[in-house]
Amino acid sequence: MMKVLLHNQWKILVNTVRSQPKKNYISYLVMLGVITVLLYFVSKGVLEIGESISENVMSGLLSYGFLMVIGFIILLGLPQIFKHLFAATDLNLLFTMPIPTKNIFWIKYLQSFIGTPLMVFLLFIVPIYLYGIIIEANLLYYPVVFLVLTSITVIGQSLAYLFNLILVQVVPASRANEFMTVMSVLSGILVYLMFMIPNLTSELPLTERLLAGLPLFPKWVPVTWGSNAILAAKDGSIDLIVPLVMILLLASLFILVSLILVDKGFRTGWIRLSESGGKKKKKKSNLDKSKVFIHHPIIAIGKKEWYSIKRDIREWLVFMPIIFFFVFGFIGFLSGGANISDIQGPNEITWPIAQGIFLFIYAMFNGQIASTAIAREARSYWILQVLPLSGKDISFGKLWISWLIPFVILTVIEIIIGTLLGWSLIQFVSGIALKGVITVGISGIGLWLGTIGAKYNPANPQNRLRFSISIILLISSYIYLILALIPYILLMIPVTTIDFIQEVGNEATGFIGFVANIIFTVLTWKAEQPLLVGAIGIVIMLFISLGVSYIFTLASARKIDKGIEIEIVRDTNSKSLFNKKTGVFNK
Amino acid sequence: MNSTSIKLHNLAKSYRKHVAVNNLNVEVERGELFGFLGPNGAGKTTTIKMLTGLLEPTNGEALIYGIDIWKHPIEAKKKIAYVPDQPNLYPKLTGWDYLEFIASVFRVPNEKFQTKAKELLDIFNLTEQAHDLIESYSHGMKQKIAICGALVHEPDVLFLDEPTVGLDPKSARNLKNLLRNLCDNGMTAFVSTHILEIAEQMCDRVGIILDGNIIALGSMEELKSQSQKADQSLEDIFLELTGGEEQKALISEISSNGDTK
Repeated sequence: MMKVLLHNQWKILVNTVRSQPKKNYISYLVMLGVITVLLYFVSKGVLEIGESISENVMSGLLSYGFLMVIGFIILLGLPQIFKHLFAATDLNLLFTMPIPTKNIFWIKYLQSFIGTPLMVFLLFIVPIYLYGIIIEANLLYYPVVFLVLTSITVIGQSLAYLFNLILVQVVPASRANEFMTVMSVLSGILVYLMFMIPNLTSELPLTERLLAGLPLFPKWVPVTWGSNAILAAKDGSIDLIVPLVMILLLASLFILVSLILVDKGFRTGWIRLSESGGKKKKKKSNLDKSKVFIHHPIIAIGKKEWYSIKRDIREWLVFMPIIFFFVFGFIGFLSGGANISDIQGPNEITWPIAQGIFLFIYAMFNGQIASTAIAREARSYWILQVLPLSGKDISFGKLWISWLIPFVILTVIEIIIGTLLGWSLIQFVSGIALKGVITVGISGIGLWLGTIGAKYNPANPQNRLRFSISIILLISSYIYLILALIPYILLMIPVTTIDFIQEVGNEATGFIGFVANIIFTVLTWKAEQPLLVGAIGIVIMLFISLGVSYIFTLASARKIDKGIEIEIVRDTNSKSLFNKKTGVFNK
Repeated sequence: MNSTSIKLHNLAKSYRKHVAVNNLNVEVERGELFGFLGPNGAGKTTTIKMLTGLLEPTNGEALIYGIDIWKHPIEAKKKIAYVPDQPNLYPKLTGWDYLEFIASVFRVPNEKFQTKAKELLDIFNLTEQAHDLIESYSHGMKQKIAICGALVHEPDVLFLDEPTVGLDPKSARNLKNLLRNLCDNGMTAFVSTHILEIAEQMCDRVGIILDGNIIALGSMEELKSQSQKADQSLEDIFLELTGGEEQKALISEISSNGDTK
């Protein structure tokens, strides 16, 4: 039976490769290029310092490297495995045929090795082999490295499978997709904690211990077995046997446990997830009590977007970095022995620093949220197309909501932080108003980039922007921010620095001198007419931010009127929403 | 008001060398229930998509009450509603939210919306599920809420692509009655369907499309007189025109061979 299934998979693979559009080959080449560059730099590093690495340092590097392999596989492979196990379209057919569940599981298990695990495996085995060649390792070194790395990959992969098999038993079927994303975040935290293990065992920083050749992990940790086996094999020592056997046994044990759980987790899990949400307790509708809000179309579009965001946990994951940033930052601050009272008081220092940090965060999120607003329509885009809506209605509708959400969230956070730090009312109001105005421009740019780089991947619905466009978005958000902030910064520089700036202007040449002279001129005006210069600065800032926002939103509207192209990522083996690679939606 | 509600003038769509729709010329009168028939891949959905502004024609015009939907999309779209065969709606909106959104776009007054929405939800047995998320709806329920959304703003022209697929018999019957009633009151319906009985019972006129060309157009009586067989059903006429007769003969041959064995 396995032969038939493997043959079938092979044919699917061959046909998939044959039917690829040329565009895909370019992305494969880019990916290959990235891997080659990565391998080149790692290999170069190994070649340069390989001989000088002591055995203890190598042991630490290998152990930490193996932990990274497991971490990467869990982190990146978890959603992929979920897709293979529970979202693959062929399962519907396979489960109706007389094929043992174990065989189907094995096929999925083997299939999932192509992808993240294979890439991670290659990225690690090449430099380790290179190291072996440089130090003229014993011949045993090479097969042992292969076996150890394979075992580590199998352990990582099996952990991801076990995580999925257990997870599916506790997830309500109707929330499967959302829950999966949340679990990915939890797995991220798990991996983060895993990497923190070495820090828990010692007071010294990780790099210091690594370079000093001090052990990073206790001896009983499996990654230590792996590195011990490889280091023993390097010298052709018989000491390799025990750790090698132990790591092989552990890998086998993981496979065995996964297989034992197959009957319980795989088939029943798939059935659970395939069931409709019919078991869900239904609220009884009372239309008479329904509040009706008929709005202007621009408001209605924003409201519709808000419902889609509010009711999908995955949409909120975009804000996870904020939580990580503030929560871990705060914990780190307090665990470092500091008190909040230490930073209370110097408002003239904490306020501008906080404004800078907040603007940095806004630049990161506003553009991202606005850019995803277009591809969010995905397969529902036909509705906007047939409705009597102009591109302006749609773009302004999407703009206001994608600006408002981060603004509200970050303002709440700012109020909490500002209250803790004891900011004055003027500081609160001016900071919030300033950011409110400046960030509209970022949202406008984001929205426009969303119209030219919209992407929809049914397997990863939150990934809604083409890679190249997302890079442009990141860069343009910061460039805009710097430009829009120029008048503000000029307003912020105290007049007392005028002598210093004049000195810089006189002494420095070229661009710095030029900039210093401009600042000096502005400061001279400011000294004479502080209110007028302040007002002009605010007007210029408003002009830049609102102007940029308006221009880009109009450009988005024009693009929507001409027709938006949402790139539909086709995945032949998972539940696909479209039958073609690219969906062109003309409005 | 113009008595011609839908006009296809030399309407064509080509994909490179493949001609999907070939210079169609059809006029549908106000209040008419027009059935658009054809085998799979004949060009029905392509035509409907051109008429609703979802697909740009390669040539010709698609006019709604004299307004070219490609030249003046907003004006034309104010008069139409469309229900596709696979209504992909907003999964995170409730049925009620969806109707409210559509009503907002068409600026339907509050009270009128409430009365109309409740009436439609009641006709299609969706009142109980109105506050459930659309993602929890079955295919048939999605179809029904899409129809409610299409009718809530009382369009002048309604385009329906395979409207009865996925509907339970009661809802299908309700839809047929409702369409007839609305058309009698001045709405125009352009309905694509595979179910020939529906077309035969409901439609004032039918058009049959094959390989992108209209091969028959007229009322049932006109089609019967054209085929010179008064006792023929629409199914017979359809199969005869679209080449289905050959397949029918083949099937009967296979089954008669089977009987003799």
